[in-house]
Amino acid sequence: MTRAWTRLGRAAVFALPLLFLGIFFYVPLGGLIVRGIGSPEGLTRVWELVSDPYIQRVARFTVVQALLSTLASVAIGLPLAYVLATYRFPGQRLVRSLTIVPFTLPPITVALGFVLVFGNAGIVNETLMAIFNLERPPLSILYSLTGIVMAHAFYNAPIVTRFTAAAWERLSPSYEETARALGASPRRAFFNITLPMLAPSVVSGATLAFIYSFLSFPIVLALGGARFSTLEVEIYRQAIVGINYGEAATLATLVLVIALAFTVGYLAIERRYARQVRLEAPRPKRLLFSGGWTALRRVGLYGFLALSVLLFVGPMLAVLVDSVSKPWQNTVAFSLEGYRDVFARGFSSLIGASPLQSVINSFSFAGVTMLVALVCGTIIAFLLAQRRLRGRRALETLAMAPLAISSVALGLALLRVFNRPPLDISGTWVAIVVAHVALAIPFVIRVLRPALERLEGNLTDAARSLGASPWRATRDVRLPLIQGSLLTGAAFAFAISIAETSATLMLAQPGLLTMPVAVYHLLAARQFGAASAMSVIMMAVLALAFMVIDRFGDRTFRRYL
Amino acid sequence: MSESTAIELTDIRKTFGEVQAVNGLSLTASEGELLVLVGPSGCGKTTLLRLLAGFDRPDAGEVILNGRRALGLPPEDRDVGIVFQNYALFPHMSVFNNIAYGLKFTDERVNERKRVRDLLALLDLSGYELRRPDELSAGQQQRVALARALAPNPNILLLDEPLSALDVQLRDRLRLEIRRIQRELGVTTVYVTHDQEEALAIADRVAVMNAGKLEQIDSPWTLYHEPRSPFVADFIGRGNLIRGRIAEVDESGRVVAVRLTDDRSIRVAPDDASTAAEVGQAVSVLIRPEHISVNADGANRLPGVVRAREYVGDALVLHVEAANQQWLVRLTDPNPSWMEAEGQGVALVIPQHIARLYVVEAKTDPL
Repeated sequence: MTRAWTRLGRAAVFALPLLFLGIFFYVPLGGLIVRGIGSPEGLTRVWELVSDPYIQRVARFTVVQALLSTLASVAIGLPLAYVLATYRFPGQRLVRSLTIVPFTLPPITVALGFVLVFGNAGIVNETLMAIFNLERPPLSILYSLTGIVMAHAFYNAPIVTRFTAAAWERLSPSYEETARALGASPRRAFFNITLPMLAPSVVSGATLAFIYSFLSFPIVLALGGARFSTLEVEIYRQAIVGINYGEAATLATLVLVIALAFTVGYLAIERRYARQVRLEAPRPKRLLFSGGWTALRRVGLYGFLALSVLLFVGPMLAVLVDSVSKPWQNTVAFSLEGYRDVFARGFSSLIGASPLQSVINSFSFAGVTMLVALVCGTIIAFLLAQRRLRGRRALETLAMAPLAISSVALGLALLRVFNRPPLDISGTWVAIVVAHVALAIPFVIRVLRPALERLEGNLTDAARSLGASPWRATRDVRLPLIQGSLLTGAAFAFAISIAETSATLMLAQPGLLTMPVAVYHLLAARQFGAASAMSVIMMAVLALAFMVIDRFGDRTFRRYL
Repeated sequence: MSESTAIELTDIRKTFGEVQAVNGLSLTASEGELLVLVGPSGCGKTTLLRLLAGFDRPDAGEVILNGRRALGLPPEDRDVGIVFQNYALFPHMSVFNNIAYGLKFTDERVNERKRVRDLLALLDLSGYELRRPDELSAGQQQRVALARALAPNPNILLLDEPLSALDVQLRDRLRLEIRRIQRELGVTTVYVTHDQEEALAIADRVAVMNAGKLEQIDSPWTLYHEPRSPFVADFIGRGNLIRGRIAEVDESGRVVAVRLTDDRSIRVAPDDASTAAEVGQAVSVLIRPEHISVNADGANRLPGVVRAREYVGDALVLHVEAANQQWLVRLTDPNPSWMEAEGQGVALVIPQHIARLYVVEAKTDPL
């Protein structure tokens, strides 16, 4: 009897996160698809959209910018991976950890940073104008394809770097050495041996970069201006600007299908790569600048590092500086006006609420998201760690799907499907939070699953055999060994909620604005001071989360294994 | 069931999906016995260990531990200690806390310190109390895992490939150590390994498993000299399983000659007459390499050619091709000239009192 009840309770706990994803992720997306293409009118709309020259142009631009962004990401990410994997230098650990930062930054902050650095009145143009005495800004990177591609590279090059460096560090030098002993020059050995062995991880990272660039929304919205639009931006325009939900739903369905196809391709590559992973001793690293460097290589490396700093650090630094300055005569002066604006209680017509309200909203949403995503993600990760569980692969696919979904489509789905009883949540904070939770769950799973998997090995069995009850084994062995991962997962969920822009932009009613959405409105209204100040607050929160992630990320095991 | 039976398994079955991991297996172990389960990987030996420990439930069958039905008992109530292949030391606890962990659930709690000290001394680990598992060598980790399993004074000790992660020299030393401690404490032990040499070296009795079934359970001595099936003969020790057909049977039904090829036969005198044999049946004959002599006097000679030689210090092993089959010959007192024997013709002298003869069912098996 008690046994049956225990089982029932356990089943209920396991069902909880699946119910959550089912109700708040799959039902709305299903509803969206039904609305989009599930009727004769829907199918007519598909044909109309596909044959519309404007949509064709937008689709073409979406693919072209994604391809170029991917190329740029690989071009920047690969050399960075080389430096990280082959050399030792002071601050290497820091650089390595920092490669995860862009991933957690709200895209709108990056857009703001790019405007401040590369815009017509940005630092680069102002400097060039001052040096060469020019009348007009010489570079017009912004509101062009170049600006969009650069911003996407800012996001995605670090992904390529992380994927590649991880594989590179694990690649035993003995392969290259064998090639050298067989007579290959260092260059030949690199191209014939090293590169092909790294190819799966480079392709893996590049595919991910492509998917993210394809689905990128706030960057294009903020940097594309009126001329450049991608499919995601088009969904937003149809739905929010044009109040044309039918077309938006159809377009969103098409984007979902395309993104799904890409994701399937990505998973296939990743699976192949996983089979190729060799557990090798870490590669011995040479000291950077240890001599033996030709002047040309040295200049090349310095140039590359300088450009990387400009690309990665420049925009963030510019936001920071801008937040504490204001234009004053022909120069800038120190000022805290931006922060004063952010913490103003008064109503701001630009964002339709008080800025302070958006700060409060962001933190409350992030808090709730963190708790719910942590519980759901941990339970799913636990299930995925059970090697004998049937349907594990299916569960994994279902739970990780939010990673590959267009957030704009998710926002639209929650907006349109849950706008009547029994679930009338569209236009409330619940819709925003459930979107954030769905998007955060895959990250919590990614963090917790390896830790739980290693635990499932024999550690808890050993504790049980020594006399511990299931609960004692969990308390004494499981919890202490995953608390770092729990903290990391929580930090990830919090950071994702703070930074989420796409779905929130679709769902946020005036009283429910979050910080990134407020920054979007401030940026659109050219209120740089307040936008920067609010961005700095976000960056500080995210930096804190990042420090937690860096400090507690799976440390206990790293030393042990 | 006698008083001294510590483990009694009856008709155990366990499947994982499509795989029959354990298929109708029964065995017993007496109190204080060191029983080694040996078999190729995937034969079900680890599954059996996990069933004993209570981590898995058999689909069918009965598990009795120290006279108590154990099927419903969770691992913590089974009074069983286990050492895993990867040791599974708690990485966040010191050596002391690892060993003391199991004492928290017993009356020994009060004597915790002394008990841990004693175990550390027993396993030659004194002074390592405060180390973390990752600060120990593999051999030390292994001994900590053993100490931890022994701490609560279990009735039964289970060891799952405890030495397979270690290098050869350490392995040889630690297996003696394990047997010494097992003798000293008198704890009933089930030891799983895939290494038949390790099994022969330390076991009181060895259970050979194959495809989820028990092939034979016997003392190491009996197992080596009287393997009951070609599988056991092949798995335990090095042996020649020579294929042939029965050429002659005497009036009491004993096989007396086996034809190897059309013109080559050997005379045999197996010490068991149990096999109901007919002329023409296909058989396998087990001849241990150390029983064959080379170029000596005697009947039962087979001409052959040395194809390879392995010198291992205390013996010289010749790989000889004779009667279209490969023969291993182990010379324990070789002449130095044998080092140059590759390619030379030799005469193998086969002893008539061979160890075993197995009838292979198919009569029409081509030679």
